[in-house]
Amino acid sequence: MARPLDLTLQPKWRDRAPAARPLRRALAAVGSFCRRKPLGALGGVIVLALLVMAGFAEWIAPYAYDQQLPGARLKPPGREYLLGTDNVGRDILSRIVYGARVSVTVGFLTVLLGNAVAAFIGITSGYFRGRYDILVQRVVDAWQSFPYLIIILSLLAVLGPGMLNVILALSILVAAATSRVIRGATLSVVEHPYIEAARAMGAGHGRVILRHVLPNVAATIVIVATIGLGGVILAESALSFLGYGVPPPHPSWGSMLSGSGRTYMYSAPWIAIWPGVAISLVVFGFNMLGDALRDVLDPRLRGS
Amino acid sequence: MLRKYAFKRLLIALPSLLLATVIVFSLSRLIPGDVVTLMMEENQYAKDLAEMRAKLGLDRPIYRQYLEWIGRAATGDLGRSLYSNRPITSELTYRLPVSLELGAVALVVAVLLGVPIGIVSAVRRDTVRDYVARSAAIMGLAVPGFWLGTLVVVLPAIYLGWSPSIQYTAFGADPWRHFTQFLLPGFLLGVASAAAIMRLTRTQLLEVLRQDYVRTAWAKGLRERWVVLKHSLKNALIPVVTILGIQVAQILSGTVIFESIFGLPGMGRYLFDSITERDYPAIQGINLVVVTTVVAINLLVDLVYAWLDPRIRY
Repeated sequence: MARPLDLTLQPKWRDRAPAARPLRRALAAVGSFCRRKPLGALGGVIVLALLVMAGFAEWIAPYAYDQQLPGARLKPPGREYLLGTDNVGRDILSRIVYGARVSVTVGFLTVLLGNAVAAFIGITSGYFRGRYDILVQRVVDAWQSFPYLIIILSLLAVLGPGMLNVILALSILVAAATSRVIRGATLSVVEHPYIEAARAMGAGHGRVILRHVLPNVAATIVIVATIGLGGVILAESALSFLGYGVPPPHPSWGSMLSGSGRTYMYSAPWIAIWPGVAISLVVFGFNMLGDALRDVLDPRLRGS
Repeated sequence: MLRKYAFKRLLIALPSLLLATVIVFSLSRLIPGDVVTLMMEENQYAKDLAEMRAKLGLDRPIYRQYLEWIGRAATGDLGRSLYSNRPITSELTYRLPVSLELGAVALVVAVLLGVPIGIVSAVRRDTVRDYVARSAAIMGLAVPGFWLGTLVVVLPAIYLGWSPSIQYTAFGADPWRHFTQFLLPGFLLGVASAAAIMRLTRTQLLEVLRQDYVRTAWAKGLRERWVVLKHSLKNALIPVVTILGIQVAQILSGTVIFESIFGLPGMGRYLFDSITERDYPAIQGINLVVVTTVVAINLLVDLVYAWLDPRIRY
């Protein structure tokens, strides 16, 4: 005999539903994340600082990134120029603040594009399996056999320099590497009975993938994207250092370490020091945040 | 059994290598038309457009170009450089050993730093030593190699009046100096890989130290050194072997940067110069050699893995 439904329970249950207070719930989640993962929270703060610098560069930077200040060549760090000036009298702090914009643009667009492609490849490959999977995985293998800097430089040699081409070239590699991880997550998701149930209820492949597989691998995608952002920013700075990254006048952190400034570094080491500190901090921030997110959201990925 | 596994593994590696050659080959098909014109006018690689296209092999059907190129590559002929008009193979036989020496130093540094620190970090878990090691590893992964390289050249010059040599010495000229010139760039190149190896060694060893047989070893009253080095380490290091293949690809990437900073005439430097000179046949040749090296090393790593861990030969 079915039990009569206790209607008095419902309002209480709704009262306690956290969805009713999304802001408080989100704050509580952030609070517990900070307590459990202090290093991850530190990474989050660094990432937030990077985003603020990139978004509000005009307000934060004391000078324009290409402004050549009269009589201020090679000034050491001091009260007037916090991080010093370079060989043509540009304020290094301002260039680093504006450089954040390049890193953020390249990093986020690359990871967005790369992860979208990777999600498509990885999920279809892990869901359908069979011959399609084998074929796709061999192509991914082939891409992964190239040392990243060598194939990207070669691609850029063909495509020509420019921010868009840097993003395209980097996202191909991101897509190949990331699709492996997403495929792995998909393989474990499709083993669950609810996938079989959805299929048995007559849901098409498209519906199963979008409604049941995608939400369950979403955490994996977010984690891989966060860690990937650090890697992409590092790769972009290496390309810019070699002169094949984002072209001037955009101040990329990597290009601040190369070119005409190199000969002046011997008399003005701060030209060499600050951009590298910026890159290291940001990559550190993304790695820490990504690691902490992984531990919290998906401990299965530990060690990968 | 191992032979069967090796055969299977080869069956997977070969299609990947073939696909990789298609990728390398397709590179030159992506060159925009105006770049071909630039190659003719600025770099003066040909008298007219027809000759330029013929030199790049763009005048024949694509499948014939590929078959001809791969067929000749299989016999060791990678064509001629547009820039120097010398055979690319002879240029590579001079430059590949330089990069391999640099890479070998880096790999040795990575293993010698990464594995012991990983062991200490796992055995002395949550102590000061562990925190220091883990923080150093995270920094090692975040710090860009080209920045470290730049600082190592610039800072001693300012504060010590000394700077590392950026002049290449051939083996024949002075074997000792030839060897020592690789130590500094090799060390810097190996730092990032050491960090990755350290992290994996630590997690794997922690995993193994929790196993029942390790507890048995402790219960028997064995000394710590014996339990860790004899019973645990062997099993913990098996996964570490697999990422060596990935690290080789990483290290080869780094050669482009460190050979440029330290003036070593290796393959990374050659690639960089060829890109500047728009020398596409050379770029193709370098990519082909690099990708073959990586696939071969990964195959070797997988075979070593199967030999170390018999469970893997499914």
